[in-house]
Amino acid sequence: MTNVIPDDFGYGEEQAMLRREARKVLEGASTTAAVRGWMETPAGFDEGMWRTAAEAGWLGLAVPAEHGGSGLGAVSLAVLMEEMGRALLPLPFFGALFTTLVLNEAGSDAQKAQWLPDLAEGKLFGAVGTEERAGGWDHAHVEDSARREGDGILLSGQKDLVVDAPSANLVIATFREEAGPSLFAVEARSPGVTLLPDELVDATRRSGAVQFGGVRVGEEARIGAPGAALSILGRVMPRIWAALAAEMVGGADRLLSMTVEYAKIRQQFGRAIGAFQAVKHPLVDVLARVEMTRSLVYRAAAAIDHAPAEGERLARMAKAIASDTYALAAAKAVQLHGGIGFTWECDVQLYFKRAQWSRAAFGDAAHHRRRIAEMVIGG
Amino acid sequence: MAQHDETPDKRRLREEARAFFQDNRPADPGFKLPQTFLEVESERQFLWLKEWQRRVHDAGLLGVEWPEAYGGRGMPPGSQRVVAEEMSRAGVPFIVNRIGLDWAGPTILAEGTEEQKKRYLRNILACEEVWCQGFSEPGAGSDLASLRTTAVRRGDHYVINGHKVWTTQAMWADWMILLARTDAAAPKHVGISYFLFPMKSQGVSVRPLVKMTGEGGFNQVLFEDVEIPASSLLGKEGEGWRLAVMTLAFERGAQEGSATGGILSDAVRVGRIVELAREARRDGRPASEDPWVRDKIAELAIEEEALLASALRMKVPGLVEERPMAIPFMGKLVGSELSQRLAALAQEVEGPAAQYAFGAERAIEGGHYQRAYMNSFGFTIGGGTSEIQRNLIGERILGLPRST
Ligand SMILES: Cc1cc2nc3c(=O)[nH]c(=O)nc-3n(C[C@H](O)[C@H](O)[C@H](O)COP(=O)(O)OP(=O)(O)OC[C@H]3O[C@@H](n4cnc5c(N)ncnc54)[C@H](O)[C@@H]3O)c2cc1C
Repeated sequence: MTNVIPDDFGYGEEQAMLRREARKVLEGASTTAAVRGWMETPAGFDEGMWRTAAEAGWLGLAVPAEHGGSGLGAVSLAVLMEEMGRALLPLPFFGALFTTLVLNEAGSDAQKAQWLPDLAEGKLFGAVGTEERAGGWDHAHVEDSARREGDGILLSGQKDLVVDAPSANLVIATFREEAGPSLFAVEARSPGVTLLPDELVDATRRSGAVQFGGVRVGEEARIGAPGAALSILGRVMPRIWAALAAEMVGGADRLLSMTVEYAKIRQQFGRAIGAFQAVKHPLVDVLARVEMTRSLVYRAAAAIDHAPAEGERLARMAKAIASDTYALAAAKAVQLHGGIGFTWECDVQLYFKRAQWSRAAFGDAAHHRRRIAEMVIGG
Repeated sequence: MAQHDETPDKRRLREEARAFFQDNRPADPGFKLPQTFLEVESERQFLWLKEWQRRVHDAGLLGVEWPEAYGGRGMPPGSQRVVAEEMSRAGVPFIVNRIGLDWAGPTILAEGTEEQKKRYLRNILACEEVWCQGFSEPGAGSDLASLRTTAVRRGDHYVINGHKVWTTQAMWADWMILLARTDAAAPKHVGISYFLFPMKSQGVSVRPLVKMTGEGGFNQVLFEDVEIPASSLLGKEGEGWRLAVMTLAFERGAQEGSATGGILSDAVRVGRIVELAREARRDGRPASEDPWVRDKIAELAIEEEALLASALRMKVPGLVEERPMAIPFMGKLVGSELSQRLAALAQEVEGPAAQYAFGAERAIEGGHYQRAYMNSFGFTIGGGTSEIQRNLIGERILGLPRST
């Protein structure tokens, strides 16, 4: 591992190929018509598409080669996420990714061998719960408890808004022990685990509250050392923020293209509305935000791969700016589409809602700016 | 700014530049220096800055991308930016002959005859000759092509008559890149020609204008039957518009080739505002503890980082293939507006002290940010206003129909 961020962002032929492949597959399959169909189903995604994602190697992208994946880094992940975001792909990918990253970071050899190959192949669906109602996005706020009882451990509490929990058969979550918060992996069907599915603003996503009613596990369920959850998550979260930010850039960019195309064809007052500066200038502002955001996302990803000391600051910056950019692109898209933009029928609304969900997921802009201020100013 | 993984040549250049600026930081001149090249108003400021530029050029750190034959070093694109980053890091004064280095020079390099290149380029780098830009007129600003200054051919001379305005550094300049109409009958974009105009000619008068900061720096220039040799023409007669567009692209940073390589004004950077926030007081405590101040600083820190990341990303073809020219076209728009917001924020961080005029005894940092805020409008208006930039980007990059 070097300690400089490469000038070329570590973006090479491998990433370019991944992008071409992903775009080809997704443009064909994940059309907005298909997305609308999938989002109406109970599971919220298409099994065929999941298999396609597994076969294309996307599910194994973050899984190390010795466990059946390709072990590519954060830049490759950003490429894939950006394309998924562009196509609005509904898949329980995020939960699987989160699970993979936690296991990579802190799983024992046995845990990795047990779960990573299945994650890469798409046989295992994962989800990670880190947030409780009272804690906002603060991972340190853990009331859920892990209590010793005899030769076992009893897990009690509830995690909220656990992404992809409804499809998960493995759930990882934080529980407070004497040494501090620890991570435990639990089979979703274990007795005492209850899933309460959420109704989300973004119908292409699924999440749920996961209740742990005194779930009994053994020592082998703990991931990492007792009390190590925060330091593990500290290393994993930059990858999650950068990945989500990349997905958001893809969506924002797609919204921009849709709106630009519309502004070229929609005629009012005898000319295309895009000729009016009141339409043109906001579109240029969206363009500027999208391009700046994209630069920062790739810089953050490159830092995670090559200069991890810079990773957290840049990834938080990327998630913060992406939250604002996607929201801006979505608001302008609806506004500039006029009446049609306000309808269910217009595809813009699908992205609009994805933007709403995304900005509130894993820390909104203000939350990350608060942490960035600590890094930049101190105190 | 983080260190990048760069070619050995660029790394050596970086080390060379870093060492030079460390060891050769000029002593405090004992009088106030301007914040940017647009505000050089007194002769002693000008002569001091001229000497500084000469030293940087003597050290081989200007025009590093220009051919050796014209005083440069023939290094690959992106090299000058390495020097610029080191200048910025060292916090040394700016380079004064900016119009020569960044707009006139690259245009001459691209379109001049061998003789013209030999004649002008080296002197630009060494600051032997200073340049100004005579494009704008009282009736032709954003609508530059409607300019009315005339150049009439008489034998082997042209005779110039007309009136330019907002001409930065005209009072120091030895040469001007001048746009004038050579064919009044032709359509407005076709009848224009581009001249390398000697300022010390008979019939030229330069009248200083005062800026809202109270500083000097730009002028009106009047031409009364000024005779210049026909060899002053750059390119061919009637080609002036095409060359002007090229110059403007250099000016707006949309094209590599600049001899100074700057990205963002050093007068207002987030790092400096953080220092300011620690000093300034709000409710009796350091402003740096105020949640609103912290949020705004973080917001602009993110944007500054994004702008710097964009300057790097635009050189990676695979990451800009959808809109290859978007970032270069947006550089001036985004950079100038960010500088403006940074200067505005700095004043808010100052609190009540933002009321002091720049130069006032009790002002924080001599009222640096009050002045910087005012000066920031020079960049959102000069070189094509932000509104015109938005039109251009909307049309060229997004492919939207023309506004007018
Ligand atoms: C500090 C400074 C230094 C300068 N230095 C030089 C120099 O060295 N050489 C030189 O030649 N010039 C120089 N200029 C001139 C500069 O290029 C012009 O000021 C600029 O092009 C704007 O022209 P204008 O001032 O006539 O404004 P106008 O064109 O009259 O514009 C007035 C307002 O109307 C808006 N506007 C105009 N047309 C449109 C449109 N089509 N759509 C939307 N909005 C529009 C503008 O954006 C602006 O807000 C300098 C200007 C400044 C401020």
